[in-house]
Amino acid sequence: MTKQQQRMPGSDPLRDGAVLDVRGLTVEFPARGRNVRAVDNVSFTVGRGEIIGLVGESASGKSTLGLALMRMIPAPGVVSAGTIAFGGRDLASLPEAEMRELRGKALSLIVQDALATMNPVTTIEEQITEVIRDHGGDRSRKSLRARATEMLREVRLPNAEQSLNRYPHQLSGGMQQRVAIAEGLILGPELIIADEPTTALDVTVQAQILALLRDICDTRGTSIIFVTHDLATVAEICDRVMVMYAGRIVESGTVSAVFSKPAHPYTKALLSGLLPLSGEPPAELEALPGQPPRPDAWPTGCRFHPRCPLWRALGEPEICTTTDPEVDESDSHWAACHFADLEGAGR
Amino acid sequence: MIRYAINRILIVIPLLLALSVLLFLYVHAVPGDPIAGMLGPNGSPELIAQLRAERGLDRPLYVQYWDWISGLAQGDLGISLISGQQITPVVINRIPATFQLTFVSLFFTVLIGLPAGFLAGKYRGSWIDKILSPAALLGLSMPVFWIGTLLILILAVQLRWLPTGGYIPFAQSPVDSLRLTLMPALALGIHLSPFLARMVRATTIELQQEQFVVQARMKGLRSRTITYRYLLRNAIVPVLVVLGLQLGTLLGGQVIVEQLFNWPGVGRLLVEGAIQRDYLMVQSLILVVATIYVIVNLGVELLHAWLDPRVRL
Repeated sequence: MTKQQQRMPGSDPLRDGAVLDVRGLTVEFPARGRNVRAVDNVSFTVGRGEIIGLVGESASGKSTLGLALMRMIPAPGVVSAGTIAFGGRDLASLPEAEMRELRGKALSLIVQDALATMNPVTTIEEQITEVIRDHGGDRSRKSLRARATEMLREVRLPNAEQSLNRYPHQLSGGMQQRVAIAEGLILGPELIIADEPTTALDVTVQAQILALLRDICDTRGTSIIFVTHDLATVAEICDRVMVMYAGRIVESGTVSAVFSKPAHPYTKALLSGLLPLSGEPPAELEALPGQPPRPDAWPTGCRFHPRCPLWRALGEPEICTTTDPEVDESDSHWAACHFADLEGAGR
Repeated sequence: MIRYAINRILIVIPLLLALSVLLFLYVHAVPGDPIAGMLGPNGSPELIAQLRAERGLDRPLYVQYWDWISGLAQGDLGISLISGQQITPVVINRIPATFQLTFVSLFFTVLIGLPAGFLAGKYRGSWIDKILSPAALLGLSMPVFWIGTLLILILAVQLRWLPTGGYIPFAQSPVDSLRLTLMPALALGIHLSPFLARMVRATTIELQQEQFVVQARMKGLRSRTITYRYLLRNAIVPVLVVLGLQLGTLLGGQVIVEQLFNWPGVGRLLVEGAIQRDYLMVQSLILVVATIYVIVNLGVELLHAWLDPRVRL
């Protein structure tokens, strides 16, 4: 805990040289004759060795954003605007063949259900080594096996050597997730997108996996975008946090700043536990009415205004319904709310 | 894996026993007396009774069953009611021809069905799929005797590439033997492959949506790796299961094809036996066919377990 808090205040990702610089990223899905924007004009940077939490409800676009960075938006969805600067290239316009080479090598995606992501009919050894082979790595079986063993040791898989001969379904959930992380790490990527990697695991295993990810960042200098709906996890391992709502980032800042002084009413609602990010909201929840909006019917103006307690408290000002809040994304802590400062100062 | 294999083999024994009882009762439930049929209108009741006693048909059914089944345990299928010959040597004589036809037919089934289904599934909606899917439907709706006749008309009568039928043992002349196998096996292969192709197509389409195939692309694997190690490797598992089941259709279909191509296999023997009401011949032959079917399916199951480790659980 204290580690990242000590580290954070001085580290400006842009000055350190950002690993990833996303500008105006927009993902569209054609639906019923018009285009639906699942991710709308999103900009952010990720610094080296930094863990950024990407928090939001289901359908807020957080997973889609992760897929967009991998250029793996399922058809017919497309990245319709924006740039993704990564390693001196723009991933948004990179030819597919070059993009393939980057996937798994320079940037990896780790998802929730590790078992479902593994080929059921091949051993762990084959799964790990084929990643190396397909990216032009060496082909000698012995050295491939040695590398795989070493990698499994690094992700602290018990009995690494024997596990290589096993099949995915023979491992426990925590072991499967460690193998999935090992597959993602084997070629030393600069960026890992971890989409709820611990949600399916029980709490103790969850804590071990989180500690492992934090360690990897600190020792290898790998950056992680940690997609989750669990604020406790964010507080535990992230350096910065971005809160996503209705396809946009509504607040961004260091974990300590956002958690101690949330500026956006939505973030405040999340943090005060008013709106759990998963499961049924408690029945007495009247402060934040309604369902999260759907991508084909984003509200006008500030997309949060129909559910915003602040908007109602202020007498439903017109600006919230007509105008998008403007933000300066270069600020270290910003919130997309017309009354953000007022709110922040008020508390 | 070895424990799994032993388990599966032990299950087969009671299965075959139960099958033999059913088969015995079924054949004896068929109306018509074989002796009366054999003697025709001239058979006096005394003569019929005498012959029945000679063949042991007047004994209680359970005695007849015991007689039959204890003979089977020693590899003796009994004596033909009509010809009085031992059945076992006759069957053994016919088995090579049947095996050869079965094997080559399965080969054609896979050769046509697997690539067609895989390509149609992998490139779903493309021109390949649009040609192959209706073709499969056409193949499914063509009866095997019709395919066979068509092949004879085109390849033998029109083009004169192949003889219209007949059989030469493989050991005698491999090339001529295979030439003669080609048409009947192709007819069966064309008949069976559409079903296989549809299975493989559906499986391939499903597989492509599986998370592990999507993740394979996330890992930046080459499309060759994904095609062979992720799609094909997983699509082969249902192929095996279908082939095991289709063997039943194949053995049944052979009866017709063997007749059509003058192929001296077990199928034709069965047809002859049934026409003559030769109880023992029919029940023994069906049991032999059923045993082959069960053993092949056992083999398929073991192969399945080897290919898909999840089955071994």
